[in-house]
Amino acid sequence: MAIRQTEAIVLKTMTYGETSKILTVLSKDHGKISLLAKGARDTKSKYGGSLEPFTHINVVYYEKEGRELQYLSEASVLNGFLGIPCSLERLYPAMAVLEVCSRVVHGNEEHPKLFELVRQTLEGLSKTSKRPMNGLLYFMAQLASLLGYRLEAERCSHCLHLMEQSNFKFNVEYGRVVCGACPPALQSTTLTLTKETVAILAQLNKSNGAGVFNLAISENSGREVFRVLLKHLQYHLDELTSLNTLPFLNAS
Amino acid sequence: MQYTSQTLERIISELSKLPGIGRKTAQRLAFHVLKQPRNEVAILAQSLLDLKEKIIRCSLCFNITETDPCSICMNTKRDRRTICVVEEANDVLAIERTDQYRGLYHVLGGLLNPLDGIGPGDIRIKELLERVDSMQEVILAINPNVSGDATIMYIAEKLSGLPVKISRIARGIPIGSDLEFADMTTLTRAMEGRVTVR
Ligand SMILES: [Zn+2]
Ligand SMILES: [Zn+2]
Repeated sequence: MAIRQTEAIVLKTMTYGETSKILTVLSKDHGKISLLAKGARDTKSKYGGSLEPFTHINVVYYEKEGRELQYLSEASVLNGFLGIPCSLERLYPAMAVLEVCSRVVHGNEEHPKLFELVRQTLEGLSKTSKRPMNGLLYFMAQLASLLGYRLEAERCSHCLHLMEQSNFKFNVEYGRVVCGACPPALQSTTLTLTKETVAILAQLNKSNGAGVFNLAISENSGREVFRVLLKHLQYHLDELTSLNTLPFLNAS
Repeated sequence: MQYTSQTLERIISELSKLPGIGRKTAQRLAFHVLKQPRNEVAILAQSLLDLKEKIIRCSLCFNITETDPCSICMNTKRDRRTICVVEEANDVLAIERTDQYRGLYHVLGGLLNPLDGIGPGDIRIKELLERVDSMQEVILAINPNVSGDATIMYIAEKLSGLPVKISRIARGIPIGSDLEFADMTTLTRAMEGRVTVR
């Protein structure tokens, strides 16, 4: 049995027994971990509000190898991102970030870059007063890059010319954007994109997160960008086929 | 371990299905019941069956009851213009124990939980909206967690525009505890929920 300490972001909580909770967290150093927090639902619990989804915490836990569930010993809040559960417009995209993250990470391999991406996205969502969906779009574009599936949108991936026309096509199967002049590989897996959508995809790829909420995206393009990114990620990652949070995003 | 009686084995395995009861406790309970007089055991057995056969849900507030509507909904002395929204029927019991609240209830039967795909159609929000017309105040006595927040915001959004006061119960420091041990989240919410003293 080893005592470990790491930064973590709470992805999900589940009630367990009379007063306990099981948390799924994305940790900075040990990937995804399931932690049993004894007595966490008791009003006298030392954890208080520190184990809610989104919370960025420092955890100390006992790890026994070969065991799925580890025992939480201490947790202290680094950032509660308390702006998120104050409006549904921020809450739904933030939950989608947690769900996607929870599905794509397996095991205890460390993902410091993904951890930082999630932390940064949640921080932005917690503070923003406008366009919270931009946070989710940024997260999806950057996630694709991190996992090695960067969605190239600056040049036509077929003729390599800069994107200058008004009609573009996205080929789901190849995960590529091609210009209107080039033939799409397969009609059935091709979406037509507007110039604005392609420009936004390129900006999301280049962005370092700062100012992403200032990016003016029309409602139409926002939907299109989301659709392309989702199709693209889903093509490469089976885990994302049916997201629970998707109907909430569509409704809001 | 194998018991010399199949009956004993069966009761132990049934009891240990109950929440919070392990095999050891189940065994202790079984031996305790064995020592009880027959009529005591008969009362216990009958009340278990009654629980399942006689208890239904009130068609107005969805609290558990033996008569429909339930005694709270039928009580003419209660304030029929205030409704307290809770997650589960045992929350009604908790609030009734305080003996301070005189209004009606509405049991949602769950909370919104986008991560698990539990949406407004999966809990009794539509039924709540149908009752709100005749109300002056809706008190949301819902657990202070992210699912609770989502549910509260959703209900508040649905009720916006209606001439009804919507409140949520205070979140903050448990009575008798020390501020210095409170976590950041609790303390922030406690500051937000401060009330005027004078
Ligand atoms: Zn081309
Ligand atoms: Zn009733």
